[in-house]
Amino acid sequence: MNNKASRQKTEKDLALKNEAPRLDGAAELAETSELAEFFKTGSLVFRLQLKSEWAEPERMCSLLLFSINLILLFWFAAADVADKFPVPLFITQSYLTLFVALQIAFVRLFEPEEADRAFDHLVVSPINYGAWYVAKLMGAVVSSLLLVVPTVLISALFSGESIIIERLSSVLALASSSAVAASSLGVLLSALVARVGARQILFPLLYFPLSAPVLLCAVNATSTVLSEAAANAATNNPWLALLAIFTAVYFLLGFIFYGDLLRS
Amino acid sequence: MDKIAFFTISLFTAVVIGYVRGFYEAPVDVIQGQIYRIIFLHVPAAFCSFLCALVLFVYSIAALKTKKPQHLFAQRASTEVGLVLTVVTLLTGAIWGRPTWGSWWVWDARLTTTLLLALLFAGYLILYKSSRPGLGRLKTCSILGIIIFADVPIIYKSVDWWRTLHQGHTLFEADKKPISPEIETVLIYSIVATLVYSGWLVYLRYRAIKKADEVESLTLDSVR
Repeated sequence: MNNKASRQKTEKDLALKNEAPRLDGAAELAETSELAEFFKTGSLVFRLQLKSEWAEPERMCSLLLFSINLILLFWFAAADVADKFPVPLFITQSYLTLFVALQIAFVRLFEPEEADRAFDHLVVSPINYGAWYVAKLMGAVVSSLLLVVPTVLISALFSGESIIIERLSSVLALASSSAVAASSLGVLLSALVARVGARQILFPLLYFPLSAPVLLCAVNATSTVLSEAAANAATNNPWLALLAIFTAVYFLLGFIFYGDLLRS
Repeated sequence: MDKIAFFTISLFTAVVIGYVRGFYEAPVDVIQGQIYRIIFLHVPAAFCSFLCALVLFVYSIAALKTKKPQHLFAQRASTEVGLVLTVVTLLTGAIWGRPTWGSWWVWDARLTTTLLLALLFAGYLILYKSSRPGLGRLKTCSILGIIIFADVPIIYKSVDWWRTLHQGHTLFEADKKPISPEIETVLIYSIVATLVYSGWLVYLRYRAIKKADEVESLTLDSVR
């Protein structure tokens, strides 16, 4: 009996001794695996999203054509005052066009997954929702930038104002930053209304008030850059800090709640 | 008279007393004259609407943690009352702005962001109504409540961040208050009275929503 007890004790001690080194390394290995899984999932979802966007090029083309139409309509409507206020008009119509077009893009964000019925499979699968959100956001940012650059270029061309052409790179940078902020919000709200019936009505009702601060920052920052006396407007612009804060807030909210919203 | 009616009438009377004091006790403003007296309706309504957004935020967090439907009812109640108070704020602000700024509406930062808050409250109620009852609605509405609260600091800080026509901070300035002590006393009374009355309204709405939900579930049970 004593021999059996002592043998069991020895075996137990040996098992613990052998296990101890594995326990020390296991936590690190799990952490590395989790991070690797995060990047793997994120890159996969990102690539799939780009693939689905390219598979239906009319999705992007239709948005571009919509933007060009809006710009044209705007310049027709503002023809009488275009010469008096070229810079404010350029800023107004560029950002209004962008935000309205982006709103349409975000409402349709989950359409590729829903069309393939992949959405429900993704939701019930053990996917890392944080990675899914980041990937979705990156895809939305890429799509937004493909919209921002032509829209701003065409607007600048129609305005014909020399100061806009000279500082076009700064304007493009600001418009792109605002598109990133708008995308953070857009992906979050798309997830919020993904399962709601009145999505087409509800999304604009929530998107426009929440994106108004982003729009204000973008407009004011661009006004500062395009003002005649702006020396270091690109770097010494307080509106940029505010834009960065909004981007961070919406990104954080999206990262935290994306999974809960899609699983609900 | 039952307790509910008694408290409702008493608290409403306390609010009305604030307006009466504002008319008879507070002195005339040197610059704006008599029109400034709308402050005793405008400022308390604005203050309480922001507090409703805070209540919405608190119950949103609580709902996500506990998953209790009662917290969702409290969210809806505070949103409804908050929407009414925000609309009152905007209307009284427009009435005050007409003789003061010469216009019913200006695209001032604080007015604009208060209008945005009203739209967000309305959006919350539409989301609530559009969603099917259950855990899904609780989660989506709670998350939206948290997002809406992120707008409230922007409204409050807007006076500091943007150039604006609106009156700067009045009550919480330690150094040099742009308000006389007599007006300040009545204003604080009005704020407190409106605050208590708004809280009572939120409670009444919460009770009504909870009862309606109970009746609905009983009806569904009987149908099944």
